[in-house]
Amino acid sequence: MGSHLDRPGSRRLTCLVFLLLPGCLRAASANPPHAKVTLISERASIQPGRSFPVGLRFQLEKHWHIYWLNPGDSGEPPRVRWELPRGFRAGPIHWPTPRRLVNASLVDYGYEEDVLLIIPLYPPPSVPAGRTATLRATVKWLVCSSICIPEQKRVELTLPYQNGPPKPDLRWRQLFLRTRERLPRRMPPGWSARVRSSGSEFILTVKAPNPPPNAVFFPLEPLQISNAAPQRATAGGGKLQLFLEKSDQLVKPAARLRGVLVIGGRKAFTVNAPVVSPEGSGKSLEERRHRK
Amino acid sequence: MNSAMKYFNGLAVLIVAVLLGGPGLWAAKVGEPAPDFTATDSAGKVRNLSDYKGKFVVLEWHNRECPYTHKHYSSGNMQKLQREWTAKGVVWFTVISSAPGKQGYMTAAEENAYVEKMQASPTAVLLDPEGHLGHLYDAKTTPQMFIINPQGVLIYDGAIDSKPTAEVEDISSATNYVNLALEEAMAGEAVKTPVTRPYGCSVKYAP
Repeated sequence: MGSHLDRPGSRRLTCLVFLLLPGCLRAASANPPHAKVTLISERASIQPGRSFPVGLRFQLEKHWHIYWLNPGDSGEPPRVRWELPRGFRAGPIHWPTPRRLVNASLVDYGYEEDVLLIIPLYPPPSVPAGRTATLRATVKWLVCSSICIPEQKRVELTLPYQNGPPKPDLRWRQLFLRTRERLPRRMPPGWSARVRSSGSEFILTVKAPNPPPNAVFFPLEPLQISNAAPQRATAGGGKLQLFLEKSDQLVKPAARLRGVLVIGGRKAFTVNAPVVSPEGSGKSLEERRHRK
Repeated sequence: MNSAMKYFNGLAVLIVAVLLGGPGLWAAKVGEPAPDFTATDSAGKVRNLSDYKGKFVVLEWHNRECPYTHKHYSSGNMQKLQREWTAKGVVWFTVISSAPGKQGYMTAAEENAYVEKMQASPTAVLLDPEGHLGHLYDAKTTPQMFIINPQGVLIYDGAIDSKPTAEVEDISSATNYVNLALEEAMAGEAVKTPVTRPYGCSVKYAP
């Protein structure tokens, strides 16, 4: 880069005019972050050998968002690199149900306002008595409004070890409980989901008692359905049908459709169903492959 | 903004009228003929895709202020790809579909200065502020890469590489899909990974 860029006096003007220069990007990232990120624990202490939930809380500036595991047409989900005490292990992020974020002709999947990513941690079975554990992580995330900024922070939390069941940390308990309500869950017994490939659409059929005729499907895999296409839903006769337009980038037949289905704007369920194509035996591609 | 800048802004809006060859209703799809287009580049030259039959053509969606695009330019990775492949006869079009007032929108003069400064060497930069070319190819992110073979068929649509981050240090360990696809296609082989999820910022189309 030209050395004149590094003269502070000229930077503001140069950035105003060009906005393109790496120096401006550096200056931009030195601004206050658009997401405040903290590491919190649902419980006030750690019981040796017993897993416990912690959470990465993102408090977002108004009109800014972060992304779901499948970010949709653009974007990138947050990433965590843990630095845990010896013997600790971290489980996967429990992703809350995202929202559709519409941006001109594109649709992304993510979160606005205040979101908690719950992560289970597994402490070792035996620890020195009377000691504390310091949990550290480097969190990297992309935060976007009309523009996107990569941000990162090193977060830290120290908790005491205690034998016996831990007490909740009352500052965060409600937030954890509310967040769990937003996690997709398995369909109740008696419900079922199947997917049929039909021309340019996938038809997701859910058998359920009196489902409302509105639903939104969030695909876990990219390049299967068009993120931006409207999803048409019908309900009746103890089933819900959702018509999902295939992605133009779908070049190989999809074996399974995995994702999250939100029914009636509230309840979210995980979907993991084989795709049955109308040709042949009516068995899914995967089932046919297993038979060979 | 001085009067010269205003002049260039106005000029760019004029030059940039992208005239489409086709009806523009179908999006580009891998394995099918790439939609023809006519676009004006930052030197004011009109470029028709159909003029490049017989050559490989790369389309690189671009927004210099997008951190993901910046990753590949500040590291010199994109310029290296441009240099290496154009030296082998590939036509490389950088495409800017940011609308006026949106991030990444550039006048012809601003873009030419940037290309020189960054020592980029695309065949040309196509200015697409109305988003015609972007919508024709259904470009979603910057960077997003398309490759068209000498017969005019789209053979790659997706990410530049396998590490969807904004971090320069990820480039060296990533699989570069553009290199893979061009190497395979030039060797007369089928492209093994013809479609990937493009990563990056959303293309800043007009609302």
